[in-house]
Amino acid sequence: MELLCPAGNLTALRAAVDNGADTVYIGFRDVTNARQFPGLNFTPEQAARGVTYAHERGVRVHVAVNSYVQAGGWAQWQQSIDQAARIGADAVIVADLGLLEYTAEQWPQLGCHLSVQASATTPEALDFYRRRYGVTRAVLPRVLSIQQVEALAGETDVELEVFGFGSLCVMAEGRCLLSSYATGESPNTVGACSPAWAVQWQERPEGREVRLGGLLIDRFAPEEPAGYPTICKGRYEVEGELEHAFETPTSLETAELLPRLQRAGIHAVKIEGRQRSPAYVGKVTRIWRQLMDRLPATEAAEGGYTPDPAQVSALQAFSEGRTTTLGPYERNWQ
Amino acid sequence: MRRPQLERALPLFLYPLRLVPGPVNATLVPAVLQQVLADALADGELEILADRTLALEVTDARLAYGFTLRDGRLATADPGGADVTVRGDAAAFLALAGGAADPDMLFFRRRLSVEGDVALGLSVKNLLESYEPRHRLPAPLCRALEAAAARVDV
Repeated sequence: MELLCPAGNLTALRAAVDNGADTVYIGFRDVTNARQFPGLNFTPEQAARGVTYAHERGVRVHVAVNSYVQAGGWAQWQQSIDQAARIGADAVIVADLGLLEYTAEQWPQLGCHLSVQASATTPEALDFYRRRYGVTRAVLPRVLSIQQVEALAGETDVELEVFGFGSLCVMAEGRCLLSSYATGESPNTVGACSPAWAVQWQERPEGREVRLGGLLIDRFAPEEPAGYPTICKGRYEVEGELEHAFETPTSLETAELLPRLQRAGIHAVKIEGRQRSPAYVGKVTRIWRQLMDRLPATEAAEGGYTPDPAQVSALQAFSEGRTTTLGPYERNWQ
Repeated sequence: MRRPQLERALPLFLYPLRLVPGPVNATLVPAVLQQVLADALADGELEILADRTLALEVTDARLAYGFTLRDGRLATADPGGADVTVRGDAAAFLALAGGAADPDMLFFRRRLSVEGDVALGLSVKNLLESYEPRHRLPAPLCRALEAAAARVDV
């Protein structure tokens, strides 16, 4: 299995490459990718330097152009695809149908992967993207159980890439309107969930308050772990109870599922977090490299597989909410 | 929980900085910053601080510094009227300066806080991560900073 690691700048890209990533994924510094935050991401020149650094060390680079083309914005999104091709990226990660077609027609040699934002979860949908646009790989949204992932892998010829570690979205990936509700902007439109301009933190004696677009979405007690300022992770009064009505702030951590993912034929495991620091990227990449290198080679040896507890706890230290979960993978009610 | 010794001692080491007279700070601090952020300045990336002020507050050492870009050069400013204020303890800032900690993690754990213009704060965070100013320090100083940062428990 391939280990894909995130990079929000050249320093993080080098940290990923140096610590054992097989592939690094990046985005350009504009609305064409789903992690568009101030000061983050690559100018075309920086991206070109990143590709050179990675390729010299046998590491691939994927470029996410995975927000949806907005009215009047075709030229900008098209330019991102062109730039990715020109700097020698190995693949683009795309969700928009127009961009998929453009990529297939104009840059047939460029790998074309289906973004998580496209939210494709059935063999029929994956097959459509493969036949129509030559999509060779799809990133699965974090909505499927491990049984569903295994079943899907058995029914499609498209390579599958799954998230292994990092922050979680509420289970409507690529189709979520919560950020738009409070700010008018979302990952699909401008590439940002909870854009920074709409976020307000206030430290008060009773705790840390966070507002998004002026709406109070949480108040953390003085010592309580906090999370990202997204509506899905806020606490609201529902029928008299103050609670995490959508989801609890927590991170995905799937080390224990690695043997099953490998056996199912999953092609790549992806680490979330282009918005995180080079320190995070370097440390998390190193741990995941070791976890993947130490996987049992045979099914027989898998029986007692447990990931190294020291590495699991090191991963937990980085987590939003400081707890981890198997997320939708463990929906065992199905 | 008992905090490790280095962490408890850090604010004490920093206390004397409070006695440095304002005019000395106003000369020395920008000179150092100008040096370690020379690349970012040359690339025009510090324009985000033009006529805006970012304040850093080291809570346990009771230190506060304001920074701005004035006529294309970094300068100190009154932290009281900052557009965005980043607060944290000495150990957290040391871990960040030495590249040993992830700021989001420190923020989740309440070791850092950000009040005011979050977009400006995020811009500066991303800029510092991208340029890694510690690498512009003399090599032995950079290594010492990284070693100290790796030792603090955040």
